[in-house]
Amino acid sequence: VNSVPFPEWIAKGGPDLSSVVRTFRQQGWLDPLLGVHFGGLMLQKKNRDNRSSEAWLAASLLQQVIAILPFGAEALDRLDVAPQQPGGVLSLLREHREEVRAASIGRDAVRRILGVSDQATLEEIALGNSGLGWRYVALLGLWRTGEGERFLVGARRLMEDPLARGLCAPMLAWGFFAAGDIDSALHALEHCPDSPLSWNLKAELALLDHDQERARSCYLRSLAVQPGQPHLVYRLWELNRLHVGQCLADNHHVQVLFYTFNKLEPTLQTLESLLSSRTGDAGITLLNNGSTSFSPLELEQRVAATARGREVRVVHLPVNIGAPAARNWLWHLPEVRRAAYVAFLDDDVLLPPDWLECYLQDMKDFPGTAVVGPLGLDPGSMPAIQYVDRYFQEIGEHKIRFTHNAPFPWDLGQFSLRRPCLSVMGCCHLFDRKLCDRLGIPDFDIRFSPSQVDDLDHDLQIWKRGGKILYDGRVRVVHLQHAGKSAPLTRASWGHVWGNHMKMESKYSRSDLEDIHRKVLFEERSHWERCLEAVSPDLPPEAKEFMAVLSRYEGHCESP
Amino acid sequence: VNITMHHPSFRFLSAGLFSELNAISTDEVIHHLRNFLGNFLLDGVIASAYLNRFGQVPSTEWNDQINAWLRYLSRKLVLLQPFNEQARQINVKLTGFADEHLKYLYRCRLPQNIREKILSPRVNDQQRRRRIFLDLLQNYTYSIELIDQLLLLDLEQDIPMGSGWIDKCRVPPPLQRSLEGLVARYCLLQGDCERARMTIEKGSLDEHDEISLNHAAEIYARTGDTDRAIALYRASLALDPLQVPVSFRLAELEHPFTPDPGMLEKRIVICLYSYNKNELLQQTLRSLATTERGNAQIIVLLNNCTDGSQVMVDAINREMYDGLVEVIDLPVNIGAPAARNWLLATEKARNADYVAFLDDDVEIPRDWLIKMLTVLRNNPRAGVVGVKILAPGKPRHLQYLYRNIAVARKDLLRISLDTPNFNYDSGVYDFVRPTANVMGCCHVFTRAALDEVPWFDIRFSPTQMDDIAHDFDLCLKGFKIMYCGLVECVHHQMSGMGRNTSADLIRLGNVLGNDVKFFYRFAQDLDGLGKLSNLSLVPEQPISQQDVL
Repeated sequence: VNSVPFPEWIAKGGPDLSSVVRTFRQQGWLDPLLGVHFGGLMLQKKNRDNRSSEAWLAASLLQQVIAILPFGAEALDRLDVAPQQPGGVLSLLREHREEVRAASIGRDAVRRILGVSDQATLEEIALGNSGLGWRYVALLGLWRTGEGERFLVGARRLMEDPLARGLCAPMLAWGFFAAGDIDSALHALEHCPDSPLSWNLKAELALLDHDQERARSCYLRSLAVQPGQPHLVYRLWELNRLHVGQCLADNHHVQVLFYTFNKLEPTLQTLESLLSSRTGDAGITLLNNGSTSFSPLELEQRVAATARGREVRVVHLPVNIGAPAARNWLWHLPEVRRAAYVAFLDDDVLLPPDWLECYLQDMKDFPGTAVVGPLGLDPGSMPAIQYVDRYFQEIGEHKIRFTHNAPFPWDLGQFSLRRPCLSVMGCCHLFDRKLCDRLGIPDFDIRFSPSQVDDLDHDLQIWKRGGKILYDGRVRVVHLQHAGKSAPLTRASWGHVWGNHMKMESKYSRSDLEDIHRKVLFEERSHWERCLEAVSPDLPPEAKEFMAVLSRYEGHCESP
Repeated sequence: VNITMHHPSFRFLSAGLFSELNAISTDEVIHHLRNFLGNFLLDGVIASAYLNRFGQVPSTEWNDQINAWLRYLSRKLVLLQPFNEQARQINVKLTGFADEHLKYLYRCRLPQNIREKILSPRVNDQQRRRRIFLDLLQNYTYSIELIDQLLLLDLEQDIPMGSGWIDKCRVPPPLQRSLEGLVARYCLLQGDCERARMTIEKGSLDEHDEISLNHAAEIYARTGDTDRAIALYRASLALDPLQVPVSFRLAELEHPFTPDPGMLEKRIVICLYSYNKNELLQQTLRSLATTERGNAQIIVLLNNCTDGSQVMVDAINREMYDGLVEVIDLPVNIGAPAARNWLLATEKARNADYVAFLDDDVEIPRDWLIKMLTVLRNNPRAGVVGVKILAPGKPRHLQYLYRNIAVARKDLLRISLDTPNFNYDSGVYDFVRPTANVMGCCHVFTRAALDEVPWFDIRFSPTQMDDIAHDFDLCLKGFKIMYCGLVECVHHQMSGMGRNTSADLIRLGNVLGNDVKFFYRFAQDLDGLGKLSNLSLVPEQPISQQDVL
């Protein structure tokens, strides 16, 4: 429902070059399968000129693929057509061509391994006697499922092999970082000091030390090595805007709302994390949506014990009225009506301490924003990306396909940025209440009860009525639901998802959707251009030129 | 309404019996027909649909069973539409017997150009249509086609049958009896039983025509002559024992249902919920106030109404209910299934022996509750009872009787029709019977049923399908669903969808979306659902069918 799986997408004629370029610009790291496909396609063109900008773009895509999947058979096949570049992984690959080929892994096997959710199986492959390519991809699989411990064992083992070390160290360094093992990350960085991934990780480490200048120089160095990294334009722009602390002091009237149905422990975990975040004097209300697995009294006692003196209002409903109706119920409480900003949380999230500060800063930095939402992470000791900003992938008459909620599960810092988008994750989002009232944004639509799609639909309503939506990837929210190892949906649940998607599609005509799409693209693109303009003076010449090439391929974006 | 939905995981059959029958195998069509016959009596459109479908089977594949059903259907179609030449031709072809009537029908044919004019559906305005036909009748007094159409127009517009024109008609004597039979039938449907009785007593009754017998039986039942009615229904069943509703109706006449007023002493709660239908809700509450309710408690839930319903309900509460109605006024609209659950979760409902739900747009008769409760008492495994739902206006139209499962395949789920296609109410459905689903605008649940299936499924929010899913859940748990046709509820539902307004498309998307949810919700229970049919009531092929007309 959400997006067409990649192979079908290609089979159906695929996206045009301009939308691939846009996807590349937005996502920073393309799905390697997509990268191989388009990189290869561009290079196969007749009369290609290695110095042409198209060849440059293609080479960048292929270099990305090789950085992520150094043993990927399809990328290796195209090595010869890729433009020469001194040093780094490419020369190593050429040097050990035969060895690498022997350890290579094909596209189908990659897809199969990455489709495995059972961690024991992945561990078996990662630690077994399979070729280096298989072992490495199994590690990516473990990372994807959030299993840090097994990843660390397997990754350290793989690092013992000299060839693997040379080729995989940059990705593995990010893996160590994601699993919280900074020492191993630093160690891995020593083996590949000049790869763009390494420079980016060094920047990330610098940011942990609040050393923005060091971070900036790492990013610029990275761009010098590999100009084809548009996400770094956003990251550089964000470096100037890291001061969020004072926003809470502005004495905004904020209400934080959440609701639960039968999830006592996750609700208390959510509350705990909410209370330990910086929320100033925001009001907090929890709606008990007719829970049957615990009594109202039990909930109140547990909430009081967790809140330790902070006022948390609990509203009990006799039955479960579903998520959209529950949100509306909270939204229409008298003190919520009066609030300047209203946040909705799911009952199973872990919040970063500065989430509200970031969001309030967003409202100031991006005027006209009606709602702002986070980067969603899977739970686990090595969290994978669960949800980022979304856009239309395909629209038609009563037809909607969204871009994937997690186009790339491995966090390489490429989504830690802000920009306007079509829709954000609804597990922790903040609304500008006054703006919503002014624009006449309708309530959450109860046809999507008990849940799913209601927040997506609400985001579409916001754009339709002239509001904007902002994605803030600095706010990293762990969403405990949808863990990689969770049971697959039942047929009844799929039917529910499909049914709701169809209900949503029927609400929008082609021209509605095209209007929304135009507005979103315009805002999103304008922000990119602002960022590019701001950081341009610092960029290495090749990077500057590359970004200009990107803009050319992406085409002109019309004002809606 | 045409709407294109794109999805790889499912596809919709367009609405209607024709597309449904085209989607299933010949064997399944026979099951489908048997199930239909277990629910309702055939009418012209439905009989044609099955006949067409069987007609598509290559004749090399015809076996005794298909042959028998073809003959059954074609004969029935001739009886239902006595002036339908094509039906008679098919019947002649299938049986090999000559049909005397055909030559008279040929003789009464209109000139081709005139014929095309009256068959043209372009004139939608019924009054205008009637005027055009009356003009034509001046010149073609013998035209049975014109007369047929005019009778139908009189019926639909509730004009006394043939008033101002029928005396001018000159049809060949052999067709006269069929014509009068039709007049009697339509008089009954208009509620003019005296005239209907006079007409059949003048000799229009055809003792070899079970449809004529059924109508005559109902005419006598309605004019107080139950014995005659019983005799006629028996004669009808002898001609065609596959008429399941006739069996139920006959049983009702032979052993009339006796309501037990003592049932009102039980703990009863009557629940209503409403969303911005001030006037209809007012009408409903006034209708309810005049009925016998014993000590039943009433709860009205207002789903964030913004049309002044609160003030109206308060006023009626004081005026007609001594302020005893409990009003729940919610700050947001939570949708129908959640509203039902909210009501069920009230202390009163939790402690009730019986919980009734009424929609906010119904009119109900004085004794509705006593009768419904008596049905529940008489049927110990009954979980819920519903009633005969009529559309508002005259003549009386059936809006919803009862449904079960027409097709339950792993890739296709179809619920049976809610009424026959020709849905005027002759009274033949005035009986009590078990089924699989009754209309949710007026139904009563037992405590045991609600204990077993406590909630309506909010995935069907804001409305549609939640009551059907609840009934099927009850069936799967072994409860009986009872239909009580002895209570008539007029339902002022919004008329059907318009054409292609965006609001209609959104509503349709909602219906279709809920259909998808519905299918997958029951995907694991298709075997159980498949048993909710009438196959045990109707034999695999019709027996000893009379072919001669």
